[in-house]
Formats: sequence, C-alpha cells, structure tokens
Amino acid sequence: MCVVPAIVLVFGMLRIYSRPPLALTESDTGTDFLLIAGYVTLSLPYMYRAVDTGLRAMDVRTLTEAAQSLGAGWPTILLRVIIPNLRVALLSGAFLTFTTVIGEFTFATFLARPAFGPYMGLLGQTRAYEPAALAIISLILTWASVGLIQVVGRGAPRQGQLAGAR
Amino acid sequence: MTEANLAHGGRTTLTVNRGRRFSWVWLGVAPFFLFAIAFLILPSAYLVVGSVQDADQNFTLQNFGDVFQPVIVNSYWLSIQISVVTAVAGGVLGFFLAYAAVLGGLPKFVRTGLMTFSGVASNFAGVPLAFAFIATLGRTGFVTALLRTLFGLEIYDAGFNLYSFLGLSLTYMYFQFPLMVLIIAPALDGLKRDWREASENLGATSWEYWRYIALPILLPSLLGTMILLFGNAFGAYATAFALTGGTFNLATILIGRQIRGEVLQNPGLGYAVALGMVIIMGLSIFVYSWLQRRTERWLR
Repeated sequence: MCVVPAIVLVFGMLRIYSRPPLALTESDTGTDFLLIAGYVTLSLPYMYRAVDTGLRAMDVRTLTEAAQSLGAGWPTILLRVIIPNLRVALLSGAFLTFTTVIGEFTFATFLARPAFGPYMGLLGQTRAYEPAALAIISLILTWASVGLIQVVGRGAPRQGQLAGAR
Repeated sequence: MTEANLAHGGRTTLTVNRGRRFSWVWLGVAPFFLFAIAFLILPSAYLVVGSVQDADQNFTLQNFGDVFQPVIVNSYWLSIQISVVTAVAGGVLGFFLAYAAVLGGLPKFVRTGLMTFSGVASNFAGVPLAFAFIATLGRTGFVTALLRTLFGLEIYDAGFNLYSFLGLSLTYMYFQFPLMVLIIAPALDGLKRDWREASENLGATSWEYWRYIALPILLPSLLGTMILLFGNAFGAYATAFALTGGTFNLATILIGRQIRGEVLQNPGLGYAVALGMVIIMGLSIFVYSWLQRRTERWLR
C-alpha cells in the first residue's frame, strides 16, 4: 500500500505535468508515458516486497563470493547468478502488477486514455449486460495471473499476492 | 622531487578512485530516487504548496480552515466510517477463516483453496468488482431475482440497497477479508506448537491459552492488518465510483469531482482535501509499521 492514494497521486501528476515546462499531457505519447510512470509508482511497494522476499531467501553474499572466486565480473554475477535466483520473485511481482494494471480505472480515466478500465466504466454507464461479461473477463485474467504466480512459485518461499484495492 | 610527485599523483588517484566508487554506489539507486522524485515526491509536494496558496498564489492558511465545511467533513466522515466498518468486519471474518484453515485441523486442500481464492479476491477490485456486485445483488441482479422467485423475498422492499452504505460495505468486504486471510495466515503459522503444549502442561485451558498467550502475541499483527485494511478501503476510488456512479460522497469521490472541476470552485481547497487524505494514510501506515515491528518480536 502506498502512502499516496492513486486518486491523490493522479491529482498531483495532472497538475505538474499538464503545464509548461513539463507539459506531458499535451500529446498522447506523453500521457501514455505519464500513465506508465503512475503504474510503476503504484507497483513499487509490492514489487519491492516480492524482490525483498526473494533476496532474503537466497544467500547473496556466498553466491557472489563463489562467483567472484571463479572469476566472474559483476555483470555476470548479476545476470547469471542473482537474477536467475530471483526469477520467481520477479515473475510473481510482474504478474501481480499485470493484474492490477490491466483493469486500472483511476489513472487511466483522469489521464483520459482509452484503456480497458475506462472502457469498462463507460460501458457500465450505458449498457445493461455487457458490463457483467467484462467483469467475467477481468475475473478470468485475475485468476490466470494468480494461477501463474502459484505455478512459477512452486517449491519456492511464499510470495506475496497483495496488491491492494483500487 | 619525482618521487614526491609520483607519491602525490598516486595518492590523488587513490582519492579519486575512492570518490568514484562512492558515487558509483549512489548511481545504482539514482534511477529510483529520480523516479520517486519525479512521480511521487513532486506531485505530493505540489499538493502541499498548492494547499497554502489562494487563487492569486499568495500564501494563505485559509484553505485549512475551509476544509471544515459540511460537504468536506461529511465526505471524510463517510470514508472513515466505511473504512472502519469494513476493516473490522473483514478483519474478524478473515481471522476466523484463516484460523479455521490453519489451526482448525481441516484437510490441506481447504487451506490451499482458501489461499488461492484470497489471492484472487483481494486483487479483484475496482470497476469489475462493482459490475459483479451489480450483476448479483443489483436491482435486477441474479441473487435478487433468485430470492424473489424462490422465497418471494423482495430484498429491495425489505430495505436493502446495493448503492448505499450497506451495499458499498458488502462490496468492499469482498477484497477486505481475503486480504486479512492472506496476511494473518503466516502469523497463525508462526504460533509455535511448543507454546500451546507448554501452557497445557502447566494446566491452562484452551481459553487461557488464547487469552494469555496466543492473542497477546497476535494482537499487534491483528491490529496492524486491520489498519492496513482501513487504508486499503480509505484510498479506494474505482469500486465506489463504478458502483454508485460518483453520487456517494466519499473523500476519494470528492477529490475526483474536484479534478473534473465540478465542486468546491477553489483549487487550493482541493489540494488541502487531497493532503488530508495523505496525512490520514501516512498516519495509518506509521502505526501499521510500528505494530509490525512489535509483531516481529515473537513471530518469525
């Protein structure tokens, strides 16, 4: 959970990045960038927690020293020792981020981007039966993500599945 | 002379080297700080600055005085009420569910199933959750119709309304109690069997074990998680908006309407309202992490 709720964050971001010198909302690309930045900020707490759990579960010091004694430089250590060991943590965090972002409403609405979330919101106001179908699609996506977290996490230390409400 | 120069040169290189290594370490975390400053600190700081300015950008504290007008106070009060109700109810329900699954001696698949469901449900929030509740408990929803056909019970005549405090609380409960299950289950796992056996050897009843050993150990964890649930509900916008169409006067909905320029008619006041949310969230996270540290004394 973040100290700054999504609605407050998008409020501040809109005010800063909609006027010079940083008028990102002038163009679609700029707004998309802002949207991505907002989602990265939202995902930081639980991505951090996932990687933290992963790092605690492995012996970074011993692994690094073993790799060094075999003559590995730090890119090798990072890419071929540390990151492969963090695979479960990184994948869990990524799937969790995916399920949070795919139907995210608050940011996408106020940045006025035609993403899945605002589309659902719009249909919810104008149609009677379609929203239920979209809710089921969304539920399937969430199930798939949580299922994938459990599949990649088999035999590994428990990974968090907490993203927080929207 | 040459020797001295060399030595000097050598020392300089060393110093430079040390300086560079120092900066390299910071370079590693620089992207994070740059990102956090640009997309977290700067927007928040803008709210702080904006909240102490009037329309002509002069310094004023008037906005904080204006916050205490009925429409704003009511929206905060409603947000706090719904967050407290769903945090406590979700916390209690989640605790007993986790207790049953972890310590209740149920088969293992029950626990796996409950944890998987909780993982899904706690992440199934926002617009689709509101749609799902409208499709089940709305005026023409499935369960509403089912109760009507099977039992002749018209829940909307009996006073139930999905678009009310009760309905929104029910909807929030759907992600609140699974979150409690997910967080409290590891804590229940952390209760050592030895403690129970030791207390039983000393003649304690089950009630005494819970009253004097398990609950005091679990209490910081329980309270902390409920505070987390409180913050979770307090910051939620999409669910409430999609369910009630923005008519339910929560603090988050008020801010949303302020962004659209529908209410308040005073930018500085809007920033002050948003800042108030950050302060309440900050307080609850502070208490949460304090309780979390107390939890770690015994558990884990």
